Amino acid sequence: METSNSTQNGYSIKQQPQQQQQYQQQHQQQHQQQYQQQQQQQQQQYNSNSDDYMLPEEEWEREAVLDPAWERQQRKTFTAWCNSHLRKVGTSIESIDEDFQNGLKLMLLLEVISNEQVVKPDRGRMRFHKIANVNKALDFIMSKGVKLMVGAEEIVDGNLKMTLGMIWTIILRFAIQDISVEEMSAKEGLLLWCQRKTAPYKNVNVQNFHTSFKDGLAFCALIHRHRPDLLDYNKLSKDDPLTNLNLAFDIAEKFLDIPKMLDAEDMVNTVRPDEKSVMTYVSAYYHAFAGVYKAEQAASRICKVLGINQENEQMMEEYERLASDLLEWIKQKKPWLEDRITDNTLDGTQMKLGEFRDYCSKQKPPKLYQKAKLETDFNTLQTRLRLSNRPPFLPSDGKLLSNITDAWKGLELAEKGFEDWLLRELRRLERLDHLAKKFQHKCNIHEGWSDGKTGLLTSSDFKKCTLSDLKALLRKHLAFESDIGSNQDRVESIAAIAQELNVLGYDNIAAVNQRCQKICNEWDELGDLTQKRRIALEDAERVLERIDTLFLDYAKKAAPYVNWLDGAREDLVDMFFIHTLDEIRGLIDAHNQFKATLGEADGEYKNIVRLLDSARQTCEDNGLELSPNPYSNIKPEEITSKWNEVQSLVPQRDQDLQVEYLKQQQNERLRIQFAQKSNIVGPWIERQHELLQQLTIQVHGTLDQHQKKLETMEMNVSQYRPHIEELEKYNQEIQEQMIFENRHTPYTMETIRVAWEQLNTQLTRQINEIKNQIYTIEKKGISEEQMNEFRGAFAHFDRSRQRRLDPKEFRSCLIACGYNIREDKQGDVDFQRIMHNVDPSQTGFVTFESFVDFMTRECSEEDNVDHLVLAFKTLAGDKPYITAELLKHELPAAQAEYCMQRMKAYQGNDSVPGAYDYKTFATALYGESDL
Amino acid sequence: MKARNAASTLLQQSWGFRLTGGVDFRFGLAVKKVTPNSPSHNKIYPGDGLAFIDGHDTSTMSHSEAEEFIRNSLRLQLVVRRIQLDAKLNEFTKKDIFELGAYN
Repeated sequence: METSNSTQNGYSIKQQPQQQQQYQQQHQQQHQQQYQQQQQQQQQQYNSNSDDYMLPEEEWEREAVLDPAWERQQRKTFTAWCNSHLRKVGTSIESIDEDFQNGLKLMLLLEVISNEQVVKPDRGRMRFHKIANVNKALDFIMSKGVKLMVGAEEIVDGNLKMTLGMIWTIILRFAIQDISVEEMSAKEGLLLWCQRKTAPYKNVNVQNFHTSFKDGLAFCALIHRHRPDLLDYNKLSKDDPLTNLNLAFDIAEKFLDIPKMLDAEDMVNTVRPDEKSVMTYVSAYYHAFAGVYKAEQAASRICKVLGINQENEQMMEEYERLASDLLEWIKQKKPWLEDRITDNTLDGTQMKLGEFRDYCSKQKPPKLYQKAKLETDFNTLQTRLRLSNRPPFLPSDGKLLSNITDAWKGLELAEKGFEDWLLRELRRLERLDHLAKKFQHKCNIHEGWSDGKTGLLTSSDFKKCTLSDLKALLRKHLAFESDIGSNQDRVESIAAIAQELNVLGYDNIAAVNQRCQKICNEWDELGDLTQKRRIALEDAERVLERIDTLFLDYAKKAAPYVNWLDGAREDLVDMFFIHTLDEIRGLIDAHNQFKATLGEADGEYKNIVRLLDSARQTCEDNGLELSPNPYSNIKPEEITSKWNEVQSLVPQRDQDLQVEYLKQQQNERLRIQFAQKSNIVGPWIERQHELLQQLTIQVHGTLDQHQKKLETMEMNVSQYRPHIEELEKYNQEIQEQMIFENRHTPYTMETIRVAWEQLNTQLTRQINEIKNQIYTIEKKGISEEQMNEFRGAFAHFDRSRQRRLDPKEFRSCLIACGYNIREDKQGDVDFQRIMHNVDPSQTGFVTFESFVDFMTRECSEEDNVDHLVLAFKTLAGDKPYITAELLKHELPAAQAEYCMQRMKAYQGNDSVPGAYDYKTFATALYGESDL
Repeated sequence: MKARNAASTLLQQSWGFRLTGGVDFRFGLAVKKVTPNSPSHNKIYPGDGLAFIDGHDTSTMSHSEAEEFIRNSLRLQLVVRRIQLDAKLNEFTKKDIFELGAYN
């Protein structure tokens, strides 16, 4: 039986045209009855024969016999396909074999799908008109490089098979041929596309264009892969093909604008659905999704570019904000540091020192950090701009990095010496305080001594007294003169103190000078008077010869002894002002020496007392009343009390000295404490400096490792901070104790602070640099080895170690990197071109960044104006302008808003209302413009 | 009226090069790209620096000012700095005047 034969053998058996027709008729009648049986047979047949579908081109040969079911499917699918294109020009076909007969709609269809003009159709309804028009259409198809085996007559006659064959050729040429994934044939390309897209889905295994699509899951998977919002794939079941197919077809029609080209029942009921129909339908999916994909890609590219711009703008704003902040702070702090006037009081100056310490330890460090951040941010921003081919960032006036650095330098200049000055001032004020007290003390003693002396000197007592009295008076006067001699030193020291107070600029100098003047005047007067009285007494002495000698020894001994006592007492309460242990030791030694003389003094005291006692004894022995001692007005009680006082003052002095000694010892301990710590901290910081220096010059291992190394170091350094703080604490203790010198260490807090801050700054800068390099590597897509090579080459030629090359070094470096720069005129010209490129602002130097930039320029072509324009063009559907609707539809709201705020209206002749000029916008983003 | 139309048509035409730089970018005004077969083709080249635009000194010109001058010009005269080596004078730039005629 013909029918079953042809069915069993598939589609590759050729038959005579008559037989075909016969078959057709038979088929019309028999199909319904035969269908069940046929299907079973097919089923068996198919299982054993499943490979022969892969037979090549033969299957599309026009002579091939069509399975009636397939023919039905093709008719339906192709009609739908034609209509999906014809609807664009507002027409459609109903019956594929009849509506193309006159060739008119065929020509229309070709125009729509090719987007080209086909020659004008002949007017007229005669058969030859129709043949002519169909021929024109066929000629057009053949002009596209397609071989056609169809004759115009067959189409005009309404030969269904031929018509379907011709439409298939058109579909193949216009809808499938342009699909080629990785240089494969169109069909394999489409198949590969399906396989790739459905790979992640369970129960889907696309191996062909017939049975693989039968259960509908493949269609659903394709839809879900691209538009997961449209269906829930997990709820689908392989056992319900009809539902799956209808779901896919409905969704495709409703949301993807793909008309229903297949019939779910046909798909299910045919053992092997028609391959061409399925391909036609799947190709419609491909075109729908490929378009979406392209637009998405373009949109994402635009978003990326805009994102970079927005981020950069944010960084610029942040920079401006930080810079103003910092400059404002510096402006506010500088005058305070430059103000070198104190209120001349110890407390006020101490307070100022406290403020300065607060400034050093609390206010300045965050600002220093801010400054470092500003610098690194600035570098990062410029690297980003350079890498994304944007023009460099120029901060607003007065906020350039150099302005910040200058301002900071100004601040540090103002700060330099501030502490020294403050300490000096403190020392001066302290000394003043001490001197003033000493002055008052000495003055008090002196005035106590000189009080009434004038009266005594001017009295005429000697005119009425006896000889012995007179002699006594004379002796007394002589004693007074020696007394004056011993007081001379004190007056001189008072004058000297007053002088020093003048030199040091004591606040209340007027009172001091007045008092000093008064004492000096009195002193001169006293001298005068003494002279006069002596002459008077000596005149009288010649008259009065007899002198009682009983108390002579007493007088002789008592006066110097009292003087010595006075002196000793004065020394014992003398205040000391010392700064070192040696000085206090000296004082203690002196005191000990003094104490050693005490025994002698005690003997002297006893001698004096014994003199009086013996006098008293003599008086008693002779039964006489003891007359007052004419030679001395020093009472024995006075000597006793002074001696007792001196004796009691000695332990007092001992204690004072001990306290001072302890204080000095404590101070020494503080010095040593600071010195020991700083002798550890200082070298540690120096070692870190050296380490950092090494790390800066050489990079071992990957950049990531290097960054980790640096970050480990940064962590170590930041963990070391407590040591610095400890040192600060010691330093504060030292300053509070007014300790000014420290011989135990070459380091001062200031040097440690500077080294520490430098270490931190340099470390941060180095890390930032490495980060920028990593960013560069990521952005440029170059390998770490390459980066290391660049760094090695650069470091080799960077002889100045300033991380920049002069043109000569750069040229050698380029040659070392494999650039062929000749040693002649042409080579010079080439090199000048390159130099102009890497050093556009003509600084005469090439930085490492611009060197890497130059070496990797080829890699960074991705991010430039042309790519961005192309992306916009894709979104705009190849139009030279883009509308607000499109922007809102294709881009996220924020980016669309960003675009619309900045885009200008499109000015071209082909403009429509609300059209934006994306080209000018895109070039402006990169600081360029097309003219 | 006709002349004005012609002028405005001319203004719509492009000179065929892409401009980059300007004082606002700390970067000298320069030619970035030249479109083949445009009025600029074979007259100016990528990398040329613009010294004068229609007699205006560019040293203090911002990008948008330069753009304005060029867009509004009907007959554009550019003085460019081109890197060339003159070993004797040891001078690396040479000034040249290029006049870009409009399309006919």
